[in-house]
Amino acid sequence: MLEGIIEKSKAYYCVECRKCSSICPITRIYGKFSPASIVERSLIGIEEEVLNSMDIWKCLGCGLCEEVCPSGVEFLHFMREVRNGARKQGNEGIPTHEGVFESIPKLMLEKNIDMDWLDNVETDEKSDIIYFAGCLPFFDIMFKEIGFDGKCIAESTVKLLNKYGVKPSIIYGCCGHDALWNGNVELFNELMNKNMQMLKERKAKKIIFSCPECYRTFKMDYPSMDVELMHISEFLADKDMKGGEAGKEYTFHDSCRLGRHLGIYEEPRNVLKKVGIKVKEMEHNKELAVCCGTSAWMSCDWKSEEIRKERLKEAKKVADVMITSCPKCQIHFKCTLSHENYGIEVKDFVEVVAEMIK
Amino acid sequence: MLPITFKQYSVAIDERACSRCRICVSICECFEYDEARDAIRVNTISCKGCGICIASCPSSAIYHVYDDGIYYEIVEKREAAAFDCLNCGYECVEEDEKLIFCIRRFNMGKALEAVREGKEVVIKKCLLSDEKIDEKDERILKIEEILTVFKMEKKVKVE
Repeated sequence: MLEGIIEKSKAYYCVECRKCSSICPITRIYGKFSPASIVERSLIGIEEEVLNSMDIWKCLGCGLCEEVCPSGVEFLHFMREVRNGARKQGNEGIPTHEGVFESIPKLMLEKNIDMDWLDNVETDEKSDIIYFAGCLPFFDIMFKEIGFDGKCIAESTVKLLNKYGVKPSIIYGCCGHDALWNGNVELFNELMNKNMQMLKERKAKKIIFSCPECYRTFKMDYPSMDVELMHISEFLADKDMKGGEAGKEYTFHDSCRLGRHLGIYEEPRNVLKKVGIKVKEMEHNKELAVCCGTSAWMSCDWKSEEIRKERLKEAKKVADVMITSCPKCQIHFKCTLSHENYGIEVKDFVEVVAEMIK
Repeated sequence: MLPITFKQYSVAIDERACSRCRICVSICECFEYDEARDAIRVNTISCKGCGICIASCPSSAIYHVYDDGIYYEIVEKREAAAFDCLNCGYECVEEDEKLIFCIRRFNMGKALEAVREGKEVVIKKCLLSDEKIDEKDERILKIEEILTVFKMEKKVKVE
Protein backbone atom coordinates (compact mmCIF):
# COMPACT_ATOMS: atom_id res chain seq x y z
CA MET A 1 0.00 0.00 0.00
CA LEU A 2 2.80 2.40 0.85
CA GLU A 3 4.63 1.90 -2.46
CA GLY A 4 2.33 4.20 -4.36
CA ILE A 5 2.55 6.78 -1.60
CA ILE A 6 6.36 6.65 -1.63
CA GLU A 7 6.32 7.13 -5.37
CA LYS A 8 3.95 10.11 -5.30
CA SER A 9 5.62 11.98 -2.46
CA LYS A 10 9.19 11.34 -3.70
CA ALA A 11 10.01 9.70 -0.38
CA TYR A 12 12.52 7.42 -2.13
CA TYR A 13 14.78 10.46 -2.56
CA CYS A 14 15.37 10.42 1.21
CA VAL A 15 19.12 10.34 1.93
CA GLU A 16 18.60 9.72 5.66
CA CYS A 17 20.36 12.94 6.65
CA ARG A 18 17.78 13.41 9.44
CA LYS A 19 17.62 17.16 9.02
CA CYS A 20 13.83 16.87 9.19
CA SER A 21 13.99 15.25 12.61
CA SER A 22 16.45 17.82 13.87
CA ILE A 23 14.13 20.70 13.04
CA CYS A 24 10.77 19.02 13.81
CA PRO A 25 9.10 20.85 16.75
CA ILE A 26 7.57 17.60 18.02
CA THR A 27 10.88 15.69 17.97
CA ARG A 28 12.52 18.47 19.95
CA ILE A 29 10.10 17.82 22.80
CA TYR A 30 9.30 14.14 22.32
CA GLY A 31 12.32 12.29 20.96
CA LYS A 32 10.44 9.12 20.09
CA PHE A 33 8.68 10.86 17.23
CA SER A 34 10.87 11.30 14.20
CA PRO A 35 9.74 12.14 10.67
CA ALA A 36 12.94 10.60 9.30
CA SER A 37 12.29 7.27 10.95
CA ILE A 38 8.72 7.18 9.65
CA VAL A 39 10.02 7.65 6.11
CA GLU A 40 12.85 5.15 6.64
CA ARG A 41 10.55 2.52 8.07
CA SER A 42 8.25 2.91 5.09
CA LEU A 43 11.18 2.64 2.68
CA ILE A 44 12.44 -0.58 4.31
CA GLY A 45 8.92 -1.92 3.98
CA ILE A 46 7.76 -2.20 7.61
CA GLU A 47 4.35 -1.18 6.44
CA GLU A 48 2.20 -2.47 9.26
CA GLU A 49 4.29 -0.80 11.90
CA VAL A 50 3.91 2.59 10.24
CA LEU A 51 0.20 2.25 9.55
CA ASN A 52 -0.61 1.04 13.05
CA SER A 53 1.52 3.50 14.96
CA MET A 54 0.09 6.48 16.79
CA ASP A 55 3.15 8.49 15.73
CA ILE A 56 1.62 9.33 12.38
CA TRP A 57 -1.08 11.37 14.14
CA LYS A 58 1.44 13.51 15.98
CA CYS A 59 2.72 15.31 12.87
CA LEU A 60 1.61 18.95 12.79
CA GLY A 61 1.91 19.36 9.04
CA CYS A 62 3.77 22.57 9.77
CA GLY A 63 6.18 22.04 6.90
CA LEU A 64 9.44 22.89 8.67
CA CYS A 65 10.85 19.53 7.53
CA GLU A 66 10.12 20.26 3.90
CA GLU A 67 11.83 23.60 4.35
CA VAL A 68 15.16 21.94 5.23
CA CYS A 69 14.96 18.66 3.27
CA PRO A 70 17.87 18.60 0.78
CA SER A 71 16.18 15.94 -1.38
CA GLY A 72 12.79 17.57 -1.79
CA VAL A 73 10.79 14.82 -0.11
CA GLU A 74 7.18 15.97 0.15
CA PHE A 75 6.71 14.84 3.72
CA LEU A 76 3.35 16.54 4.23
CA HIS A 77 1.89 14.88 1.17
CA PHE A 78 3.39 11.59 2.36
CA MET A 79 1.85 12.01 5.80
CA ARG A 80 -1.59 12.77 4.45
CA GLU A 81 -1.55 9.65 2.29
CA VAL A 82 -0.22 7.48 5.12
CA ARG A 83 -3.00 8.73 7.38
CA ASN A 84 -5.51 7.86 4.71
CA GLY A 85 -4.06 4.34 4.60
CA ALA A 86 -4.09 4.06 8.38
CA ARG A 87 -7.71 5.20 8.55
CA LYS A 88 -8.70 2.36 6.22
CA GLN A 89 -7.11 -0.05 8.70
CA GLY A 90 -9.01 1.43 11.60
CA ASN A 91 -6.21 3.57 13.04
CA GLU A 92 -8.04 6.88 13.32
CA GLY A 93 -6.01 8.82 15.87
CA ILE A 94 -7.43 10.70 18.80
CA PRO A 95 -9.34 13.79 17.70
CA THR A 96 -9.44 16.73 20.08
CA HIS A 97 -12.59 18.34 21.53
CA GLU A 98 -14.41 14.99 21.60
CA GLY A 99 -14.48 14.80 17.82
CA VAL A 100 -16.88 17.73 17.49
CA PHE A 101 -14.95 19.10 14.55
CA GLU A 102 -15.28 15.81 12.70
CA SER A 103 -19.03 15.78 13.20
CA ILE A 104 -19.71 19.42 12.28
CA PRO A 105 -18.47 19.09 8.66
CA LYS A 106 -20.65 16.01 8.24
CA LEU A 107 -23.66 18.03 9.41
CA MET A 108 -22.66 20.78 7.00
CA LEU A 109 -22.92 18.34 4.12
CA GLU A 110 -26.55 17.74 4.90
CA LYS A 111 -27.69 21.15 6.05
CA ASN A 112 -27.00 24.55 4.63
CA ILE A 113 -25.96 27.22 7.06
CA ASP A 114 -28.14 30.19 6.50
CA MET A 115 -27.47 32.67 9.23
CA ASP A 116 -27.39 36.38 9.74
CA TRP A 117 -24.50 36.53 12.10
CA LEU A 118 -22.70 39.82 11.67
CA ASP A 119 -23.75 43.21 12.97
CA ASN A 120 -22.93 46.69 11.71
CA VAL A 121 -21.52 45.56 8.38
CA GLU A 122 -22.78 45.78 4.83
CA THR A 123 -23.20 42.58 2.89
CA ASP A 124 -24.86 41.82 -0.39
CA GLU A 125 -26.17 38.33 -1.03
CA LYS A 126 -26.03 38.74 -4.79
CA SER A 127 -22.44 39.93 -4.89
CA ASP A 128 -19.98 37.89 -6.93
CA ILE A 129 -17.26 38.76 -4.44
CA ILE A 130 -17.42 36.23 -1.66
CA TYR A 131 -16.02 36.24 1.83
CA PHE A 132 -15.46 32.63 2.88
CA ALA A 133 -15.77 32.82 6.66
CA GLY A 134 -15.21 29.10 7.21
CA CYS A 135 -15.99 27.59 10.58
CA LEU A 136 -15.78 30.82 12.58
CA PRO A 137 -19.35 30.59 14.01
CA PHE A 138 -18.54 27.18 15.45
CA PHE A 139 -15.18 28.22 16.86
CA ASP A 140 -17.04 31.07 18.49
CA ILE A 141 -19.45 28.67 20.21
CA MET A 142 -16.77 26.21 21.28
CA PHE A 143 -14.10 28.60 22.53
CA LYS A 144 -16.02 31.44 24.10
CA GLU A 145 -14.73 30.61 27.56
CA ILE A 146 -11.08 31.09 26.65
CA GLY A 147 -11.79 34.51 25.19
CA PHE A 148 -11.83 33.66 21.51
CA ASP A 149 -14.03 35.99 19.48
CA GLY A 150 -14.67 34.59 16.02
CA LYS A 151 -17.41 37.08 15.33
CA CYS A 152 -14.93 39.90 15.77
CA ILE A 153 -12.63 38.35 13.13
CA ALA A 154 -15.47 38.02 10.62
CA GLU A 155 -16.82 41.49 11.37
CA SER A 156 -13.40 43.11 11.12
CA THR A 157 -12.79 41.43 7.78
CA VAL A 158 -16.10 42.60 6.33
CA LYS A 159 -15.59 46.08 7.78
CA LEU A 160 -12.23 46.34 6.03
CA LEU A 161 -13.80 45.15 2.79
CA ASN A 162 -16.62 47.70 3.21
CA LYS A 163 -14.08 50.45 3.71
CA TYR A 164 -12.72 49.79 0.23
CA GLY A 165 -16.13 49.64 -1.38
CA VAL A 166 -16.68 45.88 -1.38
CA LYS A 167 -19.96 44.44 -0.17
CA PRO A 168 -19.28 40.72 -0.10
CA SER A 169 -21.67 37.84 0.15
CA ILE A 170 -20.70 35.51 2.97
CA ILE A 171 -20.34 31.74 2.98
CA TYR A 172 -20.06 29.80 6.21
CA GLY A 173 -18.85 26.28 5.81
CA CYS A 174 -16.05 23.82 6.03
CA CYS A 175 -13.42 23.82 3.32
CA GLY A 176 -12.43 20.25 4.19
CA HIS A 177 -8.93 21.09 5.37
CA ASP A 178 -9.10 19.02 8.54
CA ALA A 179 -10.66 16.04 6.83
CA LEU A 180 -7.94 16.07 4.18
CA TRP A 181 -5.09 16.35 6.67
CA ASN A 182 -6.53 13.61 8.82
CA GLY A 183 -6.67 11.28 5.85
CA ASN A 184 -10.44 11.37 5.46
CA VAL A 185 -10.36 11.88 1.70
CA GLU A 186 -13.97 10.79 1.16
CA LEU A 187 -15.32 13.51 3.44
CA PHE A 188 -12.97 16.04 1.89
CA ASN A 189 -14.19 15.23 -1.62
CA GLU A 190 -17.82 15.58 -0.57
CA LEU A 191 -17.16 18.94 1.08
CA MET A 192 -15.17 20.10 -1.92
CA ASN A 193 -17.93 19.18 -4.35
CA LYS A 194 -20.48 20.95 -2.21
CA ASN A 195 -18.39 24.12 -2.00
CA MET A 196 -17.64 24.13 -5.73
CA GLN A 197 -21.33 23.71 -6.46
CA MET A 198 -22.21 26.58 -4.14
CA LEU A 199 -19.62 28.87 -5.73
CA LYS A 200 -20.94 28.01 -9.17
CA GLU A 201 -24.49 28.88 -8.10
CA ARG A 202 -23.36 32.24 -6.77
CA LYS A 203 -21.30 32.89 -9.90
CA ALA A 204 -18.29 33.77 -7.78
CA LYS A 205 -15.54 35.83 -9.36
CA LYS A 206 -13.43 36.53 -6.32
CA ILE A 207 -13.16 34.79 -2.96
CA ILE A 208 -11.59 36.48 0.04
CA PHE A 209 -10.38 34.50 3.05
CA SER A 210 -9.45 35.45 6.56
CA CYS A 211 -8.45 31.88 7.47
CA PRO A 212 -5.19 30.64 5.94
CA GLU A 213 -6.32 27.02 6.08
CA CYS A 214 -9.36 27.66 3.88
CA TYR A 215 -7.17 29.68 1.53
CA ARG A 216 -4.56 26.94 1.29
CA THR A 217 -7.18 24.28 0.69
CA PHE A 218 -8.95 26.24 -2.05
CA LYS A 219 -5.72 27.22 -3.71
CA MET A 220 -3.69 24.04 -3.50
CA ASP A 221 -6.07 21.13 -2.96
CA TYR A 222 -9.14 22.07 -5.00
CA PRO A 223 -9.04 21.70 -8.77
CA SER A 224 -8.31 25.06 -10.37
CA MET A 225 -11.36 27.25 -10.81
CA ASP A 226 -11.84 30.36 -12.81
CA VAL A 227 -12.05 32.38 -9.62
CA GLU A 228 -9.61 34.80 -8.06
CA LEU A 229 -8.58 33.70 -4.57
CA MET A 230 -6.98 36.04 -2.09
CA HIS A 231 -6.21 36.36 1.59
CA ILE A 232 -7.42 39.53 3.26
CA SER A 233 -3.80 40.66 3.67
CA GLU A 234 -3.30 40.38 -0.10
CA PHE A 235 -6.50 42.36 -0.67
CA LEU A 236 -5.26 45.12 1.64
CA ALA A 237 -1.67 45.07 0.38
CA ASP A 238 -2.15 47.54 -2.47
CA LYS A 239 -4.66 49.82 -0.73
CA ASP A 240 -3.87 53.24 0.66
CA MET A 241 -4.41 53.41 4.37
CA LYS A 242 -3.58 55.50 7.35
CA GLY A 243 -3.14 54.36 10.88
CA GLY A 244 -2.72 55.71 14.34
CA GLU A 245 -0.07 55.44 16.95
CA ALA A 246 0.56 51.98 18.32
CA GLY A 247 0.90 52.19 22.06
CA LYS A 248 2.23 48.66 22.43
CA GLU A 249 4.92 46.45 20.97
CA TYR A 250 3.64 43.98 18.39
CA THR A 251 5.02 40.78 16.95
CA PHE A 252 3.67 38.64 14.12
CA HIS A 253 3.26 34.87 14.37
CA ASP A 254 3.47 33.31 10.92
CA SER A 255 0.94 30.52 10.72
CA CYS A 256 2.18 27.42 8.90
CA ARG A 257 -0.48 27.56 6.22
CA LEU A 258 -0.12 31.22 5.33
CA GLY A 259 3.65 31.22 5.67
CA ARG A 260 5.44 28.08 4.62
CA HIS A 261 2.59 26.56 2.63
CA LEU A 262 1.55 29.65 0.68
CA GLY A 263 4.66 31.82 0.98
CA ILE A 264 2.83 34.91 2.21
CA TYR A 265 5.17 36.65 4.63
CA GLU A 266 5.48 40.27 3.53
CA GLU A 267 1.87 41.20 2.78
CA PRO A 268 0.57 41.13 6.36
CA ARG A 269 3.71 42.85 7.63
CA ASN A 270 3.38 45.62 5.03
CA VAL A 271 -0.27 46.16 5.88
CA LEU A 272 0.58 46.38 9.58
CA LYS A 273 3.34 48.87 8.76
CA LYS A 274 0.85 51.03 6.85
CA VAL A 275 -1.51 51.23 9.80
CA GLY A 276 1.34 52.28 12.08
CA ILE A 277 2.49 49.02 13.63
CA LYS A 278 6.15 48.17 13.50
CA VAL A 279 6.40 44.42 13.77
CA LYS A 280 9.18 43.18 15.99
CA GLU A 281 10.39 39.80 14.81
CA MET A 282 10.64 36.82 17.11
CA GLU A 283 13.70 34.60 17.14
CA HIS A 284 11.98 32.10 14.85
CA ASN A 285 10.15 33.97 12.14
CA LYS A 286 8.97 33.67 8.55
CA GLU A 287 10.26 30.40 7.00
CA LEU A 288 11.43 29.11 10.37
CA ALA A 289 8.43 30.17 12.46
CA VAL A 290 7.32 27.56 14.98
CA CYS A 291 3.85 26.05 14.76
CA CYS A 292 1.16 26.67 17.41
CA GLY A 293 1.30 23.01 18.40
CA THR A 294 -1.79 21.29 17.01
CA SER A 295 -3.29 21.04 13.59
CA ALA A 296 -6.50 19.70 12.11
CA TRP A 297 -7.95 19.07 15.59
CA MET A 298 -5.83 16.00 16.10
CA SER A 299 -3.69 14.86 19.04
CA CYS A 300 -3.48 17.74 21.46
CA ASP A 301 -1.45 16.81 24.53
CA TRP A 302 1.46 17.99 26.63
CA LYS A 303 3.72 18.13 23.59
CA SER A 304 1.46 20.68 21.95
CA GLU A 305 1.26 22.57 25.20
CA GLU A 306 5.05 22.66 25.52
CA ILE A 307 5.46 23.99 21.98
CA ARG A 308 2.94 26.75 22.71
CA LYS A 309 4.65 27.74 25.92
CA GLU A 310 8.00 28.06 24.15
CA ARG A 311 6.41 30.14 21.43
CA LEU A 312 4.67 32.45 23.91
CA LYS A 313 7.90 32.94 25.84
CA GLU A 314 9.65 33.79 22.59
CA ALA A 315 6.95 36.34 21.76
CA LYS A 316 7.04 37.89 25.22
CA LYS A 317 10.75 38.62 24.82
CA VAL A 318 10.04 41.10 22.03
CA ALA A 319 6.43 42.27 22.36
CA ASP A 320 3.23 42.73 24.37
CA VAL A 321 0.83 41.64 21.65
CA MET A 322 1.18 38.64 19.37
CA ILE A 323 -0.65 38.96 16.07
CA THR A 324 -1.78 35.73 14.45
CA SER A 325 -3.32 35.32 11.05
CA CYS A 326 -4.99 31.97 11.68
CA PRO A 327 -8.00 31.60 14.01
CA LYS A 328 -6.77 28.21 15.13
CA CYS A 329 -3.39 29.61 16.21
CA GLN A 330 -5.29 32.16 18.25
CA ILE A 331 -7.48 29.50 19.85
CA HIS A 332 -4.47 27.37 20.75
CA PHE A 333 -2.47 30.20 22.26
CA LYS A 334 -5.46 31.53 24.15
CA CYS A 335 -6.05 28.06 25.54
CA THR A 336 -2.56 28.03 27.03
CA LEU A 337 -2.95 31.61 28.25
CA SER A 338 -6.22 30.68 29.96
CA HIS A 339 -4.38 28.59 32.51
CA GLU A 340 -0.98 30.20 32.53
CA ASN A 341 -0.13 33.86 32.46
CA TYR A 342 2.62 34.97 30.11
CA GLY A 343 1.74 38.66 30.16
CA ILE A 344 1.03 38.66 26.45
CA GLU A 345 -2.09 39.30 24.43
CA VAL A 346 -3.05 37.36 21.30
CA LYS A 347 -5.00 39.10 18.57
CA ASP A 348 -5.96 38.36 15.02
CA PHE A 349 -4.42 40.24 12.12
CA VAL A 350 -7.72 41.65 10.82
CA GLU A 351 -8.79 42.61 14.32
CA VAL A 352 -5.65 44.70 14.80
CA VAL A 353 -5.85 46.30 11.37
CA ALA A 354 -9.53 47.18 11.84
CA GLU A 355 -8.75 48.75 15.19
CA MET A 356 -5.83 50.82 13.95
CA ILE A 357 -7.07 51.94 10.54
CA LYS A 358 -8.42 55.45 10.18
CA MET B 1 -31.04 -10.01 36.00
CA LEU B 2 -29.66 -9.11 39.37
CA PRO B 3 -28.35 -5.66 40.02
CA ILE B 4 -24.61 -5.72 39.63
CA THR B 5 -22.47 -3.60 41.85
CA PHE B 6 -19.26 -2.30 40.41
CA LYS B 7 -16.49 -0.37 41.86
CA GLN B 8 -14.15 1.92 40.00
CA TYR B 9 -10.50 1.72 40.89
CA SER B 10 -8.76 4.83 39.74
CA VAL B 11 -5.06 5.33 40.29
CA ALA B 12 -3.13 7.89 42.29
CA ILE B 13 0.50 8.97 42.29
CA ASP B 14 2.91 8.99 45.17
CA GLU B 15 4.64 12.28 44.46
CA ARG B 16 7.64 11.48 46.65
CA ALA B 17 8.42 8.39 44.61
CA CYS B 18 7.59 9.90 41.21
CA SER B 19 10.64 10.77 39.09
CA ARG B 20 8.59 12.89 36.63
CA CYS B 21 9.78 10.74 33.74
CA ARG B 22 6.34 11.09 32.11
CA ILE B 23 6.21 7.53 30.83
CA CYS B 24 2.66 7.39 32.16
CA VAL B 25 1.85 10.59 30.24
CA SER B 26 3.09 8.99 27.05
CA ILE B 27 1.02 5.81 27.43
CA CYS B 28 -2.27 7.12 28.77
CA GLU B 29 -4.50 10.07 28.13
CA CYS B 30 -5.51 10.26 31.77
CA PHE B 31 -2.15 11.64 32.85
CA GLU B 32 -0.98 15.15 32.43
CA TYR B 33 2.22 16.90 33.40
CA ASP B 34 1.62 20.01 35.46
CA GLU B 35 4.60 22.25 34.93
CA ALA B 36 3.67 24.80 37.56
CA ARG B 37 3.64 22.17 40.29
CA ASP B 38 6.24 19.98 38.61
CA ALA B 39 3.98 17.00 39.17
CA ILE B 40 1.89 14.49 37.24
CA ARG B 41 -1.88 14.82 37.47
CA VAL B 42 -4.34 11.96 37.09
CA ASN B 43 -7.79 12.45 35.70
CA THR B 44 -9.66 10.18 38.08
CA ILE B 45 -12.90 10.48 36.17
CA SER B 46 -11.54 9.12 32.90
CA CYS B 47 -9.20 6.60 34.55
CA LYS B 48 -10.66 3.11 34.26
CA GLY B 49 -8.08 1.60 36.55
CA CYS B 50 -6.71 -0.77 33.94
CA GLY B 51 -3.33 -0.76 35.65
CA ILE B 52 -1.09 -0.57 32.60
CA CYS B 53 0.52 2.55 34.03
CA ILE B 54 1.19 0.79 37.31
CA ALA B 55 3.04 -1.93 35.48
CA SER B 56 5.11 0.49 33.44
CA CYS B 57 6.03 3.05 36.11
CA PRO B 58 9.79 2.64 36.70
CA SER B 59 9.55 4.22 40.14
CA SER B 60 6.53 2.22 41.30
CA ALA B 61 4.90 5.52 42.16
CA ILE B 62 1.43 4.71 40.84
CA TYR B 63 -1.04 2.72 42.87
CA HIS B 64 -4.71 1.81 42.79
CA VAL B 65 -7.11 3.68 45.00
CA TYR B 66 -9.51 1.09 46.31
CA ASP B 67 -11.53 3.26 48.54
CA ASP B 68 -12.77 6.36 46.80
CA GLY B 69 -16.30 5.52 47.78
CA ILE B 70 -17.63 5.23 44.26
CA TYR B 71 -19.87 2.26 43.61
CA TYR B 72 -21.75 1.52 40.47
CA GLU B 73 -25.03 -0.28 40.40
CA ILE B 74 -26.50 -1.33 37.12
CA VAL B 75 -30.08 -2.33 37.00
CA GLU B 76 -30.72 -1.85 33.30
CA LYS B 77 -31.08 -4.96 31.17
CA ARG B 78 -27.65 -4.85 29.77
CA GLU B 79 -24.74 -7.21 29.97
CA ALA B 80 -21.81 -5.46 31.53
CA ALA B 81 -18.36 -6.45 30.41
CA ALA B 82 -15.20 -6.31 32.43
CA PHE B 83 -13.24 -3.10 31.87
CA ASP B 84 -16.35 -1.51 30.43
CA CYS B 85 -16.27 2.22 30.39
CA LEU B 86 -15.91 3.43 33.95
CA ASN B 87 -16.91 -0.15 34.84
CA CYS B 88 -20.48 1.04 34.96
CA GLY B 89 -21.46 -0.09 31.49
CA TYR B 90 -23.23 3.14 30.90
CA GLU B 91 -21.00 5.24 28.67
CA CYS B 92 -23.78 5.45 26.16
CA VAL B 93 -26.58 3.13 25.27
CA GLU B 94 -27.76 3.09 21.71
CA GLU B 95 -31.38 2.46 20.98
CA ASP B 96 -33.28 2.71 17.73
CA GLU B 97 -34.25 6.33 18.10
CA LYS B 98 -32.19 7.39 21.07
CA LEU B 99 -28.62 7.66 22.24
CA ILE B 100 -28.48 7.72 26.00
CA PHE B 101 -25.49 9.23 27.73
CA CYS B 102 -24.44 9.32 31.31
CA ILE B 103 -23.63 12.97 32.01
CA ARG B 104 -20.13 12.04 33.12
CA ARG B 105 -19.43 10.29 29.84
CA PHE B 106 -21.21 12.78 27.59
CA ASN B 107 -19.34 13.06 24.33
CA MET B 108 -20.08 16.05 22.14
CA GLY B 109 -18.80 14.45 18.93
CA LYS B 110 -20.88 11.31 19.40
CA ALA B 111 -23.93 13.38 20.30
CA LEU B 112 -23.68 15.44 17.11
CA GLU B 113 -23.16 12.31 15.06
CA ALA B 114 -26.29 10.75 16.58
CA VAL B 115 -28.40 13.82 15.83
CA ARG B 116 -27.13 13.74 12.27
CA GLU B 117 -28.36 10.18 11.99
CA GLY B 118 -31.78 11.36 13.12
CA LYS B 119 -31.59 10.15 16.70
CA GLU B 120 -32.50 11.93 19.86
CA VAL B 121 -29.80 12.47 22.45
CA VAL B 122 -30.80 11.81 26.03
CA ILE B 123 -28.55 12.73 28.91
CA LYS B 124 -29.13 11.01 32.23
CA LYS B 125 -27.61 11.62 35.56
CA CYS B 126 -24.95 9.35 36.96
CA LEU B 127 -26.43 6.07 38.19
CA LEU B 128 -24.21 5.84 41.19
CA SER B 129 -24.14 9.27 42.70
CA ASP B 130 -26.80 11.72 43.74
CA GLU B 131 -25.27 14.61 41.85
CA LYS B 132 -27.81 16.42 39.73
CA ILE B 133 -27.28 17.48 36.17
CA ASP B 134 -26.45 21.11 35.89
CA GLU B 135 -28.97 22.41 33.33
CA LYS B 136 -26.43 24.98 32.30
CA ASP B 137 -23.69 22.42 31.73
CA GLU B 138 -21.26 24.09 29.33
CA ARG B 139 -21.03 21.18 26.95
CA ILE B 140 -24.77 20.65 26.66
CA LEU B 141 -25.23 24.34 25.93
CA LYS B 142 -22.50 24.22 23.29
CA ILE B 143 -24.09 21.28 21.50
CA GLU B 144 -27.48 22.98 21.58
CA GLU B 145 -25.97 26.14 20.18
CA ILE B 146 -24.21 24.25 17.38
CA LEU B 147 -27.44 22.48 16.48
CA THR B 148 -29.29 25.81 16.44
CA VAL B 149 -26.95 26.97 13.67
CA PHE B 150 -28.17 24.00 11.65
CA LYS B 151 -31.77 24.78 12.66
CA MET B 152 -32.05 21.46 14.51
CA GLU B 153 -33.31 22.57 17.89
CA LYS B 154 -34.58 20.43 20.71
CA LYS B 155 -32.71 17.28 19.86
CA VAL B 156 -30.92 17.05 23.19
CA LYS B 157 -32.94 16.11 26.23
CA VAL B 158 -31.85 16.07 29.84
CA GLU B 159 -33.58 13.51 32.04
